[in-house]
Amino acid sequence: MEFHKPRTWPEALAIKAEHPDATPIAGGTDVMVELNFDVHRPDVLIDLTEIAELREWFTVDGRYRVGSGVPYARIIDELGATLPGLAMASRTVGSPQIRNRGTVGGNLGAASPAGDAHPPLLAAGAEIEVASVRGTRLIPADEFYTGVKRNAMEPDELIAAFHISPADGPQQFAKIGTRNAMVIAVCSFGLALHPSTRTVGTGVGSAAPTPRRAADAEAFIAGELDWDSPLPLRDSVKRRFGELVAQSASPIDDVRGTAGYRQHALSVMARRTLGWAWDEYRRNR
Amino acid sequence: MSVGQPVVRVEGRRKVTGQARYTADIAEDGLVHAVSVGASVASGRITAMDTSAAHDAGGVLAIVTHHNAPRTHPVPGREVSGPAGDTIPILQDDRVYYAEQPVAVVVAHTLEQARYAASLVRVSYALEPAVATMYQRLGEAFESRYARPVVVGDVDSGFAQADVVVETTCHLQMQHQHPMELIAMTAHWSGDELTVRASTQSVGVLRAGIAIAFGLRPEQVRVTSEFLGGGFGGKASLWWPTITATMAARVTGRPVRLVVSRAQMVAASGHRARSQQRVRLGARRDGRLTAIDYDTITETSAWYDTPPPSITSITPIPYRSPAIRAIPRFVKVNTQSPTPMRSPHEGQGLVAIESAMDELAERTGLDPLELRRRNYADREPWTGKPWSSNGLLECYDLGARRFGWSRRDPKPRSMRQGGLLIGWGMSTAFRLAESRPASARAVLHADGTVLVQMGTQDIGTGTYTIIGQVAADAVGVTVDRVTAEIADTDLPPAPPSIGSFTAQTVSGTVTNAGNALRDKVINVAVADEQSPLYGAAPEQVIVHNGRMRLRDDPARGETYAELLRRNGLPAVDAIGQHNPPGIGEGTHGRYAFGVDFAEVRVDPSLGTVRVTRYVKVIEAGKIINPRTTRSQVIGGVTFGIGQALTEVSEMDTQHARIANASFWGYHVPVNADVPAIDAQFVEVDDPHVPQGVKGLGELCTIGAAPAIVNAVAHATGIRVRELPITADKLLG
Ligand SMILES: Cc1cc2nc3c(=O)[nH]c(=O)nc-3n(C[C@H](O)[C@H](O)[C@H](O)COP(=O)(O)OP(=O)(O)OC[C@H]3O[C@@H](n4cnc5c(N)ncnc54)[C@H](O)[C@@H]3O)c2cc1C
Repeated sequence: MEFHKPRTWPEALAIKAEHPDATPIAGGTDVMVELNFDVHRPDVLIDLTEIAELREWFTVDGRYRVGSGVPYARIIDELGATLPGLAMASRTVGSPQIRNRGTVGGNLGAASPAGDAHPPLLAAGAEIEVASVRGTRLIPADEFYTGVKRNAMEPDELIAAFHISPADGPQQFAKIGTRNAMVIAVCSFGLALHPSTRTVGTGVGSAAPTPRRAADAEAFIAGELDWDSPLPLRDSVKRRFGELVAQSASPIDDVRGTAGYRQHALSVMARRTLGWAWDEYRRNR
Repeated sequence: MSVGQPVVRVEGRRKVTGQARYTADIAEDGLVHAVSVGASVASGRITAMDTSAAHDAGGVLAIVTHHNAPRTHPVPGREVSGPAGDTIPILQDDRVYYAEQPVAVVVAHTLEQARYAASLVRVSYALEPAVATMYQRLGEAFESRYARPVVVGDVDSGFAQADVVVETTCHLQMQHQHPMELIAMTAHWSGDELTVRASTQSVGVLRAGIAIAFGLRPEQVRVTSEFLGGGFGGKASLWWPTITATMAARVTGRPVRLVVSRAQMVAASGHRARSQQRVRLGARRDGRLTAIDYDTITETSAWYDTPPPSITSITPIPYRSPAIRAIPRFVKVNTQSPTPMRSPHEGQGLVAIESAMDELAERTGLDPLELRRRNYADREPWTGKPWSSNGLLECYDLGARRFGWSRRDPKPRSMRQGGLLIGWGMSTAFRLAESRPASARAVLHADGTVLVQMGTQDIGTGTYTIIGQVAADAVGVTVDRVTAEIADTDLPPAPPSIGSFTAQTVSGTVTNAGNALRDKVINVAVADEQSPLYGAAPEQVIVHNGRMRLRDDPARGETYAELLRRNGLPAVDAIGQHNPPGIGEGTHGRYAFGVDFAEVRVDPSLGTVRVTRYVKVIEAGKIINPRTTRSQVIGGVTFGIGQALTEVSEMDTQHARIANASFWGYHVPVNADVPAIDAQFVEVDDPHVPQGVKGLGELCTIGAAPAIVNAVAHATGIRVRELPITADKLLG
């Protein structure tokens, strides 16, 4: 096994170009488990932890550019106020040790349908910045996930960062697990109100081959909300929103839960998170 | 007195600072590593093996298969007194009885080399149909001669007298002990002498088993186990890791370490067997039971004609009834053998019995606790013997008071807060309080320190600590003067650390050894002309803080150290024996008792359950150490929360393989699942058990799962009869 530890980003991209099959390591909390379980036996490993810029975040034109190597613990501490949905999801990831090492970049690289960062990234309309020696491109989150543990990257590309707007309205995240911590989602849901565009963003986790938006639910609720004189939401509206979110999923039965349960739970989480977010919006006006 | 004090665990600091050496940490010169290749099928025959690629891989010293393994003798489980373990011959023929059964063992210089080479071994099988769960063969359920039915009175006439009859059938899943510490063995031959460092709950069982298997005299085998990272019943027997490590060491002539992987743990030791538990209760309108009819079907392994009695034979009925009938039956399936898992039968059976009692409470309109009080058994229900002592009613009172049980609204779904349903449930707990024959040696050194040697084990419960306390009181020194040396077959023999036997066994044995030592030294003193105690009657001499003196004349005396030094004695020692009646024998029923009160909060829309409040009261006679006991209660209840809510080994019914053989998919409770646990003790004097001490390790788990099941039923109105209670089962 070849092991590379590039110190600069161009160096990393050059190695990846030379070894398109190489496995990058960020926090290693997925990679090392897979090596240990002998799921993968990569010929080449690229350790990205020495590259300082991957661990930085800053703003560009009012949007945040967060390096793919920023661990969950720092997202919670440093970006909790501006990216509340992602921070909420980050708090539910694993244990303190996992949150110290694990990164959103790694979550994107793994592209597991159950990854907790995906629903808030989808709901917030984030974009993923990927790079290769050929150049850099931005992929909208809802085009990034292409299949079970597959994403839209080319073999020679690496994830540099994600771009995300600071919350312009309340955000929520809900997750169900088979226990109260240290658990992979049975299903999860992220929601972001966007008063500036009068839209609602959604992200459904662990209930389809990929994380995905609930487009019908987004369209429905955009037509129902009165942003200027916000009244409490009718139960029938919340319920319909929940149904549409559930319909957007195509879950399976597995050891963590049944398809039927996932669909039901999604509808409950969707209507609850909508209610909480909308109430917060009304209170803060 | 040291007994009764919250003495801090003596090895605690070493454990939390990483200085304690567990079996897999112990280095030896020339140590090499073995890895087992497990069968990929659950039933069949090996038709071909190709080990050439593995042989050619770097660092490989040997590959042991049924073609070249040392021949072993069959080890009948019952002969080594522990729960049975692997009684099939390991690597002796081409038969496969369960998935991950060893078909080869690869030995290499490093663990990585062994692991890699193991992955290169190719095995072909002739598949035979595998039975994955008993539900495929319920019609073939059989009775075992080692698990006899219990029949008291006549249940038919009992039911004829009943005003109310409830019937419930619970389905309990396969669960694994999954202790933190993986099973590890290091085997080292020198000539015909074998030393095995083992992670085991019983050095004695391993020695006896190895001796039979390899045709050795027991004296040729030494087994040690300094620290154990949990066992819970899974490390009490002779399983294949011991056999294969010993073979690998024989074949290579090197010390061999074998550490089982987490995935292999489901095949390398026992488990809590899947079972179906049917209970029928008959009662008068006032709640008094007239009949208990209880039958079980439990899985056992494919090669067992004699299911281990330890998982079956004890009747989990803590109530009085004129008629009781309990019939255990078994179905053979293609799994490793089941064993007790933090209690043999009560831990499972009480889930069904206590569920049925709650249903009876609903039907009779009685408070669940009142119903249990009315059916309090003032004698052992199935023998009619008096109890050696029984503090159950005091446990009920104290627990109910601390929990606030009287404020419970009996109606299901009636208690709510913030959109959550609140449920309160309770359960009786009880467990045999017995001990087994043992001996110990106590040594007094000239510096006044005491060493106790005993072949018992500390499986993480605090045995090192309580030995010190018991010895301190018997010898008459402070606890910091005592050191315990245990878990070595070179030491005086003691039973396996199972069945909650250890605290009582240790108390009886070490007290006898300590008393014998003290008396021996006093006899030296009263015969020593230079001693201030010269000529005194030995009964008149008492010892305190290492100083002997006359009972009536405190000034007349001297210390142990002064006496020994003056007489040029480097040490004095004495042996103590413990010979209790056999289990269930004698004039009294010996049990420990307890009660569990649980509060759960259930999200009615999502079906998620949280345990939010917990009170457990136990009566285990004299509490030797409240600190270690409290730890046992917390650990035991946590174990029960897993049993009730999260833990299940999922069987792939097509291939008879366990689908979640890892902590990735087998969910033990984490901190966020466990509330603060209020652990309380009721102490009673029991003159019929050694030193008044009853064991409690299993008692702390028994009762927890049924209390949670009952709390969930109270919260939701849904009585879940198939554990664990996952969210989908609570969406009505
Ligand atoms: C005990 C435990 C608990 C966990 N709990 C959760 C949980 O609750 N929720 C959850 O979502 N996940 C959980 N995980 C999974 C894991 O922690 C997350 O997926 C985490 O986000 C991975 O980040 P990482 O930095 O460790 O990634 P790594 O393991 O380093 O990498 C993950 C994948 O991304 C690729 N990769 C990494 N960096 C890049 C890059 N810059 N460009 C391209 N590809 C890249 C890697 O090659 C690999 O395929 C858990 C894991 C463990 C071990």
